[in-house]
Amino acid sequence: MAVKILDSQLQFILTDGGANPGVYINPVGHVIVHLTQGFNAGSFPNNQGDALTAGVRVPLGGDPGGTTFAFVQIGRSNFYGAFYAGRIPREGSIGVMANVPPALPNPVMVDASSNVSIPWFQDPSRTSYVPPTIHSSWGDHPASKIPSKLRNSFASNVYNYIFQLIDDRDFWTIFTAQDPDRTLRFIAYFHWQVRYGVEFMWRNGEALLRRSKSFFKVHERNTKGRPTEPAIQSLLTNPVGPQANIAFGNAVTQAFYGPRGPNRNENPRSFSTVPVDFWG
Amino acid sequence: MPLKSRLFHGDRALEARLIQDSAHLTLGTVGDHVSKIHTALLVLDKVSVAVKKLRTETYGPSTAAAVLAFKTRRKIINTNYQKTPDNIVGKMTIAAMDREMIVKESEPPFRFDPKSNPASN
Repeated sequence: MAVKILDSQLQFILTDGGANPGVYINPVGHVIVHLTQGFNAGSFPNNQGDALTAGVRVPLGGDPGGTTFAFVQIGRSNFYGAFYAGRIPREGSIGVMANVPPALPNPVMVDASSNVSIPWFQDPSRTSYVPPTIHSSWGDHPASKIPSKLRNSFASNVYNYIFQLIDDRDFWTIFTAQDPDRTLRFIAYFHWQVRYGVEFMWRNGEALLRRSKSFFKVHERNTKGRPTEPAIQSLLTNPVGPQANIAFGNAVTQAFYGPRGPNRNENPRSFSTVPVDFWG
Repeated sequence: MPLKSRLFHGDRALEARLIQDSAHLTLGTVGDHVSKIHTALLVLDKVSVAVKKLRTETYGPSTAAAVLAFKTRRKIINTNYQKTPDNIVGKMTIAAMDREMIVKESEPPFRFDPKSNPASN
């Protein structure tokens, strides 16, 4: 019989006060958006400080036996688009969308911070049992990196320069028990969203941040039970791969560096949305 | 002989440079054909001209300087009457730009560099 979880005594602390979506433009031609504390451009994407962390304590009604406790995270890419333009209209424009097929077959994915087995986000070894209480912790720092300029084959391979990036994602982070028969019990969760919405201008050949409409928001905090969002129910019932980091990394690579297609369109003329002083 | 690169092909003003000495591009020239020279200078030599001249499609001092640098690097000199390159776009210059643009346009637009692999988390 599975161990009883005394969730009426659950303590769930989410620390997110310092989480601010940022943008870094590196000198070798990339834009990095990041939600971290302690962003380190030199070691990106490794060794970044978690932007938000959570700790949970819950007593059990007995020995955990073979039940495993850790966090499951489901991520959804709502929009991932980057837009580039030539210096003048006749140098064309490029639109890249990485969150749609074929680059990304399904925008809702099981998320993991490293090479951890599904369904876990982080290794269950981060969880400890000090009778009668289970202690566990979690942290994340979502980010992505894309080129700041792309060559437009419809405009004589001239460079087009990034003027807008939108990366919008939702996450459901769920403290979960997995019983020996593989049954998942979703104990408590929080639902959060990060949206990087940044615009750039170019001066003397270098990208500068023009405006940011980025935000980070916790929609549901310390909510008991299974998340109710319809879009993630099938993955909660049957958590399967691919893991978000792998699938999304592949989607970004394919969309930005793969052949032209549904994920990247190149145009001989400029978008009407390019600010007039974008290049200067 | 017509210009063959996608950038220049069919541009009558530029193709005239191939056959008429009087059609040289010089300081003060304005037009879409000048804008194409600006694009070629960016693609071939990564040189951007002054923003105002870029927008007004004008062959200004920064364009002339970029053209001179382009010709100097390639030793484009009409030995019939000069010993050093000048800053105008004539027959030899437009032909050289056209040849190089054909090569650039045939290159794949993306070269994947594993060291700069885009990443996401």
